[in-house]
Amino acid sequence: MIEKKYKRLKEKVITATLANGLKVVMIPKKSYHKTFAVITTPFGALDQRFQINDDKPIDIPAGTAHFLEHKLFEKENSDAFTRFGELGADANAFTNAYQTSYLFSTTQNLNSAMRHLLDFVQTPYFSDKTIAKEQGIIGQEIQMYDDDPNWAVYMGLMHLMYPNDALSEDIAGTKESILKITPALLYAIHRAFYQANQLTLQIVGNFDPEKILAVVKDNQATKTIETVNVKKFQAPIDLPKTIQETKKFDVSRPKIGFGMRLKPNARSGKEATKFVLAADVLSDILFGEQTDWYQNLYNEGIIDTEFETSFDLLRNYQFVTFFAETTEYEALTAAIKNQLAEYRKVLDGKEAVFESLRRATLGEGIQRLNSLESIALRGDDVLFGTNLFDKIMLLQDLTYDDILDTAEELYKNVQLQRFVLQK
Amino acid sequence: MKKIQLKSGVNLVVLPTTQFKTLHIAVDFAAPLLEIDKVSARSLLTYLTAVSSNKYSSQQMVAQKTIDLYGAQYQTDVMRFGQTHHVRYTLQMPAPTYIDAENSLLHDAFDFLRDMIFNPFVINGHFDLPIFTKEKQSLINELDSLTDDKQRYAMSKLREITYDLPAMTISSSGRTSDVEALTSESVYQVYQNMINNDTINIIVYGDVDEDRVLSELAAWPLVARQEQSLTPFYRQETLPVINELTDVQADINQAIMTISYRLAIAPEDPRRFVALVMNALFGGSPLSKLFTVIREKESLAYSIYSRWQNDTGFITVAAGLDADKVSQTDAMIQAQITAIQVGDFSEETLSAIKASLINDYLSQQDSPASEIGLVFSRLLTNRETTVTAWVAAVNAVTPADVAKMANEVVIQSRFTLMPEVLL
Repeated sequence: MIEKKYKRLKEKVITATLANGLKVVMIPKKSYHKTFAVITTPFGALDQRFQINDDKPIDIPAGTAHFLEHKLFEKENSDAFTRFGELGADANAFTNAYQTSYLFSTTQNLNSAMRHLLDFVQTPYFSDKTIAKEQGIIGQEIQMYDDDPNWAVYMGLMHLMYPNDALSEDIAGTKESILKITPALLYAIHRAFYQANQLTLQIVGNFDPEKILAVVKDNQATKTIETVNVKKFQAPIDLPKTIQETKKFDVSRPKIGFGMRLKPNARSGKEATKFVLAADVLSDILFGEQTDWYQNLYNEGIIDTEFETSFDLLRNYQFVTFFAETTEYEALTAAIKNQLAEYRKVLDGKEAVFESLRRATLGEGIQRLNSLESIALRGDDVLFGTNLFDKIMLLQDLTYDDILDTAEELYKNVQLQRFVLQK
Repeated sequence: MKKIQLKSGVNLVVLPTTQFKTLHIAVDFAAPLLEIDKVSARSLLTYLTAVSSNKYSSQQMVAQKTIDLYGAQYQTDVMRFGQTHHVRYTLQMPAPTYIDAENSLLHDAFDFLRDMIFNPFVINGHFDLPIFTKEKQSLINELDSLTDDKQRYAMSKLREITYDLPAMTISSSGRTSDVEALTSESVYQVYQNMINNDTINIIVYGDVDEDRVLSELAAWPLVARQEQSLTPFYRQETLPVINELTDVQADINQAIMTISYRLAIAPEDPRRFVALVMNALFGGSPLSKLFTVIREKESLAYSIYSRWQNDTGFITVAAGLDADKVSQTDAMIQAQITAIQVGDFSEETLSAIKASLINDYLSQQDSPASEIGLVFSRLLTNRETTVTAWVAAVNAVTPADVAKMANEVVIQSRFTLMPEVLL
């Protein structure tokens, strides 16, 4: 067991890697009442093609990671979800672009719930019958999202920015794509991405690290898990064909998404996390609520508190987005373009502004540490191997020069794309 | 819980803890819910005092101040608990021990909140006009866009056809037509009425001691007021006929069905624990009848749940489903109530549901927002159940109790939102 202390945050992280490769990360918090545990594979909606050992590469239809997540709960004669319920534990799972996670939180029966989590994730049961039924349920889920205007504007912008790309596919796939899923495909994915050395188990909350680790070790010792080599293939990223698009939708006011694609990401580890932090502070300096830019638009009724901007770095992809709800979207487009064109001038002499925003971002990070779920899930553990504590401490080292460098990468010679949803 | 009466009608509860990395100050203004137009005025004043005060006279200055308070979150809300209407101010900030400016931060936070609540941006007896005009429009936009969220829209229509008391039929955020009629003078009058007559409860939660809080609050203009006897719990007679309404909308794929049931046990009835368990068995949990039978087994609905509110005396069901399955699902929902009435559920399911309710309850202690919410409702209802007593009461609920309680559930109204069928 390796222990790392974060003195200033009064936190510690204990890490252990088991003989079969399973990584266990423990963050004990004695004053809490519950324990949160989550097991994660770095397999998500972006993964569209893979290879086991020297076998023939396998294509993955859109929505498969999410589909597998649903199906893993269903066993031949039982339902994994129900068992958590019987133990009084709250269970859930989610799939995003780059990970699939299975989790529970409980104030009782921790050891049994832990064994159950490991068992149901590591013991797949997929059949033609259960797959056919799930195709119906997920079909409905996709439709439900289609009725949500916030989702529609987000997906619309992604389609515009990354046409024909996994990133612009719904995580749940389409009614057609999920029909291609077979038990053989799910078993192959499980063999590749759910083998012990691909999994990380995080445990945060009220528990004894030695005792819980013993439970995990004993459980793993009972299982024989084959180790295979896995290779993922990243498809080339197409260039966008259309710059602007408008779609008809029943919304009270138009919803608008703006996006800027950046060149493929080359950063990893702490460097990547730090870059994202710098990008966040940078966008606050240019577009934050406290800026004259924001206030002028707010006072003219061009934007309201729905306005938001974000920078995303997902594996190879990096992009900036803005979302707003307004009838005055031409004026907003001009204002964003203008601020982007003027970024050097706007950033000139803003050291004090940067410092106050850096401190505020640090304060926000500290506040986030209240939640066990945030500690486990809101760091960059899966993408860059930096946990939430590392991420918060990196804010200490951030300098104004970092911001200026980041601005050059983000805003120099970029193209602003726009997607509008309106009646 | 130690309640300190600062003045007549003004109470303070200090909850010192080092469990969290945050400090919270919450101030609640409570009034009886009588006139329907007052609700909209109170809602609008939370918009005005969220973005301005005499000292921080623009949203920009407020935003800058929260940045200077290390990323503090300042929030204003309206909510309803049965027949009381609440305006609530909360300030959350990093616990001073985790940042450098330890002493001044707490003091600055109390000063900031005092300025925002008690010293609004008012000129000659009315709120500043430019801000008033803008925030009035923001509230109207927000109320209009609620209809974009189909679930919320369906719930609001259901409320309209369920309640007898007009003030209960509208959202605690108000109604567009009422907001349009408000003036900066009329809202200021409602504000003054709130400041001078509402019952004020203040909660301070975090690593802080009572003496320090008392000395900070000495600088707040808290004046004595007449003690109100608030009767929060709302009850109404059974409706003579079931109210039914169906709306058809274009541009949606799925139907939404909502149903109200009266379950009006007396507020102080100890059987409220039976009602809680019964609702969890009916539709309030993933182990419930609605979820396991209608969603999982029959695949009739993608989403379905029920919610019991002791403050209103109603159980509400909401389901998202395909339009051609509405009547079948409706019949199936009624059949689940009958099944509970005749005791058609296993003891195992019931114990799992109780374990899960207990887990949720114990887990609340790990969330400052839940704890603060709980203390506010204790202050309002003058009822405090210890954790041990609560757990024991849930555990004591028997299958026979649950079956009997299901006989008191009476359907009152049904609202269905249907997608337009193209012919």
